[in-house]
Amino acid sequence: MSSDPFDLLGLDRAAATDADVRRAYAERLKATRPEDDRAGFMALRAAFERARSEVRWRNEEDYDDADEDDGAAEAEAAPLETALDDSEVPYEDFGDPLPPEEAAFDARIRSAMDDLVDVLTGSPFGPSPARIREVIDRDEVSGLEEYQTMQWQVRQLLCDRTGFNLDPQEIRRPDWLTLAVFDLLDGYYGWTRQPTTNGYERRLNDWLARVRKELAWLAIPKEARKQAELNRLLGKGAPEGARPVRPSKGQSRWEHEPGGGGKGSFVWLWIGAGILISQVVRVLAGMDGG
Amino acid sequence: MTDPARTLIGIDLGTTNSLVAVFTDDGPQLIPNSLGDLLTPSAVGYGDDGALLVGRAAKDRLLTHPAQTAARFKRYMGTGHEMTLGKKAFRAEELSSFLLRSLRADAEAHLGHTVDEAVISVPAYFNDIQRKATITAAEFAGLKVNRLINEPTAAALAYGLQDRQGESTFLVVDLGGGTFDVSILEMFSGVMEVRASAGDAFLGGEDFTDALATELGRQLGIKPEDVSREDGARLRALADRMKVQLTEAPEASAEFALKGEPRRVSITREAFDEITDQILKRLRLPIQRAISDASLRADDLHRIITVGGATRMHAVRQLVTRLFKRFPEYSIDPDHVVAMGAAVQAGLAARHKALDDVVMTDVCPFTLGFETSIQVGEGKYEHGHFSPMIERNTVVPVSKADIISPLHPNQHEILLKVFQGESPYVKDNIQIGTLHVPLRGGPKDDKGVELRYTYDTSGVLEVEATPLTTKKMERLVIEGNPGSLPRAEIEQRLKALAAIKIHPREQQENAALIARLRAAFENALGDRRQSVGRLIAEFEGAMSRQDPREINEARRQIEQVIGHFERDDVF
Repeated sequence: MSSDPFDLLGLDRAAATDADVRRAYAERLKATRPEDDRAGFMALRAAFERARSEVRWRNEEDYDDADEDDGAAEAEAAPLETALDDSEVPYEDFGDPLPPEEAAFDARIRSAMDDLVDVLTGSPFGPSPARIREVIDRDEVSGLEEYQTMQWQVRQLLCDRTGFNLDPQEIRRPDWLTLAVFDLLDGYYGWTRQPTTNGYERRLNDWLARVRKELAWLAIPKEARKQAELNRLLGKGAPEGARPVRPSKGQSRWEHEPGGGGKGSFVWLWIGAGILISQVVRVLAGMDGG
Repeated sequence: MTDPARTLIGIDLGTTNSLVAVFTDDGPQLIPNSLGDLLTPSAVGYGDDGALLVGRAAKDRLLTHPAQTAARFKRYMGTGHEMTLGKKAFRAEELSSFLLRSLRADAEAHLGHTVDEAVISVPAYFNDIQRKATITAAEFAGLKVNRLINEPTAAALAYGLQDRQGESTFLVVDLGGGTFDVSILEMFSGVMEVRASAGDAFLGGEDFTDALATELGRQLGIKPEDVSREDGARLRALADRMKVQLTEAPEASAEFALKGEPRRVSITREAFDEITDQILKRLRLPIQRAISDASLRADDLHRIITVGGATRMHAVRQLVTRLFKRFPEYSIDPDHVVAMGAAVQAGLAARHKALDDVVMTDVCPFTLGFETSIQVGEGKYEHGHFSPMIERNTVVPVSKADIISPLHPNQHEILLKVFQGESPYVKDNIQIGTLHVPLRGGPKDDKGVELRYTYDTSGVLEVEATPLTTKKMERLVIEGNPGSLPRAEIEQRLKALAAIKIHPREQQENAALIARLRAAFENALGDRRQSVGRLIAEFEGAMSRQDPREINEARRQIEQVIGHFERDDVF
């Protein structure tokens, strides 16, 4: 097997562009289809990926040449006119001015973040869910890029205010951060549900999962707390996505399962639950006494 | 020119509807079923004569005979769940096989020769167990699966064929009846390359229907547990019809017959958007993830394509428009496009000459790995960590190898647990199977094991482990997972299935008409109900006289009349 990807693709390493690499790969791929020649395809694929990343890396160095051949195709895309894109957003000149488009983007994010902090911390009666929703879901920040940026910044805000950056780390709970507020934001941005391969992001998300656990525990009355502990012991309310298959999702509530039956098997579940409940009540009663 | 003996068909095995198509010299072509429809409802049930009915007839009988009929079984693929039809319980693989058999018969009638090989589309986000279950379903139907193709990839193939030498990057949003997929593809010089896939295997149009049924129930003052099975099924069918009406009009209303009384229900688009808001929000995450996985920005995408019947909903299109700040494309019928793409793949597999400049490569949408323990101190280990072997969005086919060794030098066996998922802890991932690897030798011997993961173009995983000393290879055996059927049970069920009587294809039309009449009878009230009752008696009379000409004439006449009843408001 040739070790040089450019040899395998029949290209001159020094002169090849990204387009050349793609063309050479496409040509050879038609003779080395993945379904016919698995080994050949895998070797070709590896060569393609290596050659491409090498060419891209070289392009990064002389940045000006990059992305030239993307221009033509981009013209096909018809961006939707939004009132906002046209408006002139003033920005202060700190030496290196941002292009107007990016400045407008930043301004949209900044304004939404400012409003969000306001809504979260500004009211003595606690934040209003409707107003939070209004801020995060407003048209100006509902584009994908805005959503991603907001997602990142709101997470930073939450992590920062809950003690992620303290040394040593310690969970803090600001007055405004209730479980309902957390779940509203988490439901919108999906931190605790979304797997990520990025280590730093994963640490942030894991931190938020801990914060949520704490909030869930602290924010509820004692009776409900007992119930929550019970549910945990009974395995109810497992985190979403924890189970590979969730058959209950498939069944419409408006169509009873044909056949039915199988109720007898629940008897043992209830007996088991009864034993667990009595144990837990005893433990909790013991905690009160001590 | 293609060899007719090796005609492959492309099948879109959907949650709500299924289609079959074939690749011809004029491109992909959809094949109608025995009723002349391109969409065959994914429903199966027993008819009055004890023979199985598939498609439209079964769908209509959901309303009148819910205990003998099953639908939406795709959602149970790869689970051990069984649905009971009459007295017999069936797995999703078996129910799907009846549907596949019927689609195969339609293809054979259309092509005029037998067909025994197919390309079947599956949601990109189907896991290994669900994929293997689909292959088993095909085997039950006597079909060899040439390849499973991911639904958004199939859609992209159908679109890409329109402009095959173009260069573009596009995103496919595929919201079907039961599943949601997002894929990003890059196309250059006839190569269609999937860059990233993400999705939600339990999110689809049926969830919107359910939410609407609950709202209608609220208006009527009934809850799912209060109503009979028949009324529940009828309400859900009404919700489905009103959901479709909302794609055309800003408001939908109808009358629902509750305890013999007509009751008016209505819903506006705004109200519908409100009750489905939570479901709609779940669409955003996979889209975002696919884009960041592909290291792209929203502006880098040249085309945004929506696929799947559920993308007809206004709220869905609106969300996509807001996310990308431009309108999505849907120039090919969103219900047809996946089947057409599957037919293109079938054409590729059969080496159709019209396709010799097209190649498609796909990725595996999940990370695959195994459970490991991490040493946290002297003689102390923390179990339950996930070690990836194949990272998600790697181009398939792919094969990766690594050397693993036992924790303790005097171990006799390694119990390798194979997982799929993105969490660093196996408890949050899906276990696919286990592998017992026996180890030879004493504490001083080298007990390394070469572990190899191979992922094929259908998205099916093979795991092999070879101890370096013995060189005796072990293969992954899926055990203890209720979602997968062991070989012996497949054989056994195959025999049992052969004994089941299926309604003859040439009589499907009559069975479908009777089912349709009965459903209309159920929905109608008063005079109208009597008229439908007369039609049923008339048609059954013609059937009993067994004169094919008389039956065909009666059917033609009744079909004209029945349309009026169905268009009417009372349901």
